[in-house]
Amino acid sequence: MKSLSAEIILGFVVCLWFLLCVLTYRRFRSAAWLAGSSSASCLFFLGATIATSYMVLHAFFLLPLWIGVGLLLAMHLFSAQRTERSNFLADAPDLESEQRDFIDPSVMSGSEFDPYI
Amino acid sequence: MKKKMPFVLATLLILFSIWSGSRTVSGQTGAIPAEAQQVLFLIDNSASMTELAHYPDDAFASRWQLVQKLAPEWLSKIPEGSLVGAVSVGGNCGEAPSISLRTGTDRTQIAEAIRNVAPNGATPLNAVLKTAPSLFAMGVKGTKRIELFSDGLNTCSPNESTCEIVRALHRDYGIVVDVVAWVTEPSMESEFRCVTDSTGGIFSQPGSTKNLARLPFLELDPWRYVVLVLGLITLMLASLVSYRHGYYVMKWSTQTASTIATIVGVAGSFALYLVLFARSGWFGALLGLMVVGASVAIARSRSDQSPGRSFSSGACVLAACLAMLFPSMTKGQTHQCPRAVQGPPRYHHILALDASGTVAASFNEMKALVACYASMYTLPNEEISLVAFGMDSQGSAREITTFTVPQSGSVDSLNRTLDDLEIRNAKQTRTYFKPLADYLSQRLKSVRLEPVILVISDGKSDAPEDARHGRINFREIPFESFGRRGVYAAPAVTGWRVAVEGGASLDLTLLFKHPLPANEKDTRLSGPVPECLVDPDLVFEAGDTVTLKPGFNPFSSTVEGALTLKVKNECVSRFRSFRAELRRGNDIIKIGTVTNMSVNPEPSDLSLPFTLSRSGLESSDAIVQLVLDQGNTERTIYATRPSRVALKEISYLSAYGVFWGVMLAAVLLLVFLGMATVTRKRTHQRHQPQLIGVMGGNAVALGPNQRIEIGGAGSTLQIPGVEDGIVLGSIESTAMKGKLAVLPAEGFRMKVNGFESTGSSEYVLGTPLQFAKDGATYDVTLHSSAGSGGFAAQRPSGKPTDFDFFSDFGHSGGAGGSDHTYI
Repeated sequence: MKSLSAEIILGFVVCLWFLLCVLTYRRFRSAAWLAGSSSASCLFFLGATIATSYMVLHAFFLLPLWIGVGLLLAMHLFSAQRTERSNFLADAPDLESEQRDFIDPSVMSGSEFDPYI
Repeated sequence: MKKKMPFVLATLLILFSIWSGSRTVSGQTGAIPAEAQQVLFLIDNSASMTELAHYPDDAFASRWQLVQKLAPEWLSKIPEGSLVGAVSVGGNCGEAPSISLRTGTDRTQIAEAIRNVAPNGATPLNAVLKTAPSLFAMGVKGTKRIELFSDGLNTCSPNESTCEIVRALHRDYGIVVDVVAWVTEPSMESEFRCVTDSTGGIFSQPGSTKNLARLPFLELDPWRYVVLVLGLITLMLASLVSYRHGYYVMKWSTQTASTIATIVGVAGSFALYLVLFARSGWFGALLGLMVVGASVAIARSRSDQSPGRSFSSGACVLAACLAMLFPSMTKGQTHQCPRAVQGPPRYHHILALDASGTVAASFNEMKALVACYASMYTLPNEEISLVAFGMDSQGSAREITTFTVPQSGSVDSLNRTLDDLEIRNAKQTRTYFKPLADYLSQRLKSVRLEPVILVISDGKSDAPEDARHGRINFREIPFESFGRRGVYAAPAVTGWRVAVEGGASLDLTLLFKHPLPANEKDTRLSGPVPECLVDPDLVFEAGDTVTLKPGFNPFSSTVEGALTLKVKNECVSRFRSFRAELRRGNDIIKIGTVTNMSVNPEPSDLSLPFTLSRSGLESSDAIVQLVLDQGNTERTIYATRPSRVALKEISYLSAYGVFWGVMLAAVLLLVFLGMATVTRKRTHQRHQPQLIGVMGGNAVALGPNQRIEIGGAGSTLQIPGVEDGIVLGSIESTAMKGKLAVLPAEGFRMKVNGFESTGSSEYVLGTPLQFAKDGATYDVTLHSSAGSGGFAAQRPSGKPTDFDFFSDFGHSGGAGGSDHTYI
């Protein structure tokens, strides 16, 4: 029963994590170089691996590796967003400089005006 | 080519780390599968194995019969190519096991040996486990497993925790221990689970012969593979991200980006393998850290930098990680004085170093030996005292330092002190051993842990010569007299020796070869330091009677009691560890274990509560014994008085009768109070008036046992639509709130809730009530004031009552406010 409850909690956590990753994907799917889709899928498997590690003795020794992968994903997404922003600004030369400072990258990635969302 | 150098360097460093990691793992744990898996069966054949296993599919088979029956099946299930051995755990304590077959023995021979052995004696599990590593084939790489089948915990010396022993086996030899248990006492499961959890083994408690026939370790652990698959997918995607990051953000060439992605994938996969299958978590973690460090360093580089610079920084991080990793890998291989002891803190190490001029040439060697001894034989929380003697013209002894070994086990503090210690005025120093003996005798009085005394000297005293010249006035003692445990010489050393006293459980042959043979003049048996200061006798008295009280749960089969003891040490205070037992014939009842209790020369009271199974514990008497923990050995001592203690079991009624009596009285009192409160409340409610009215009409307060008329004007409760002067009937309150007794007036017929009724009927407020006479019908629905609202209340003239229903109903009234009818 104890083990079963651990598995149920694990399943629940993975489902929640999946939803979070779907949200991440929707937020970043239009970012440059397909960064959003690959990062979101990697993020999902990363979370699932870490959660499943609970069931294996000493598997948490892999945490440094997973933290590194997480950092890599974060940096990749950040760079993609920055590139997207630069591209957008390059295509909109008539924007005032004040406006450029307040551009929200999510606007450019289409998350707010995307009809498929 | 020059630009690619950092990249090549980084790759080489990673490959080197992978290679060195694998090499070290092999060296440290022997766990990388290479040649053969080794499986050693540890089969309990103690007397208790003759008891029935109570399996539903083999109801009349004893545990041992099941072992004999299933042994060939177990052996056949182990894959070909694996090396199998067996050792039995039974017989009398201290005896060699009946079966002791190294891994690699022919399997039919093992099955034959198990078939020919009969269960008997105790369970010397700890002793057998300690010898287990020698039963694995030497020089064979691969996993090593112990399959332990047992129905009880260890009952022989050494009486350490079995879990601690297997933890050491796992740490030192990489042995994994699986346990198949017939749990016969509650503590068994926790101890065996500790055994399996600390070695990565599997604990099972089969409930049938069919389950017993399985060997759990041969069944796949799916989670390990689930993590592997998920981890590999994660790494594959991470490699993809690495590639894109390198190509798009760092502006690297395709080749460079793909190489880095490959390294991330391969090194990460290797870390996965190390952690999940090679059981080398720390190396896996370090490798993961290295990959992370290198990746982050490279990724953090700005995209306008050249790849070469990025690689340079990555290589620097890698090199830094390797620099951190390398010492930890090589530490165990190059350390010349590895720790040789384990377990709880036990000793106060007194290291007396001859610092006279005669040993000046060997002084550094002597200091090195002291440092090495401290590294090898001290444990965290043990005490170390460094004493120097022969430092001056008086040959006096003094303490240089005393400190507690920190939790890390480091003895750097001692090493620094030794570095600072030097011989001054070598020509003026004198070596005498009597002052040292006096100093030690005094010092030992304030030592709380068990003392170990090492006296390191060339053994040459200046006393004979000085006595001839009348310079001293004491009787000198020989150096050898300090060596009641033995006088040792360090390997390849001839100029000085080490006299050792105390520390019986320390295996000094790891540091020295063996004690030097004693010559006839030695006075080792009558040392200068009183023996009671080194190893004081523990003396104890027990209470005359042990009262066995049944457990609080009347259905439990256990009894509780407390063994009272008065314990004292012979002449000094020391921390002592022992186990208290009751012996009745051949039965030994373990009462409890005392660890590191401060025992003084004055008697201390000690009470050891215990819980035992009731079976076979009828009132009788028993001998109280304490089993002293002496490290690797044990010693049993008996109470000075009484020779036997009486065990008296008291009945459940005498033990808890008063308690249950009081509880019953309290419950009865509570019930009575509750019933009285309810009755009082109901009576109070019964005497409350009810505010009765009709929609669109007035409302009246109807008190208990009051009857009022309902009808047209002139009636107490006027019903709208009823002609003046017509009385439809009367209503009277009942004991039940919300219910009335209604009686039609003479000549009227009445329907209550649709049912015709003659005479007085019970009426529920809110339900339809109909009166009829001479073809005229009057529908009436009476309401209580609560929630009905809408009807106006009237206050008739006169007839005030002694209660005020405004406050009781919380009703603020209608337009008239105070226009309520009082009856």
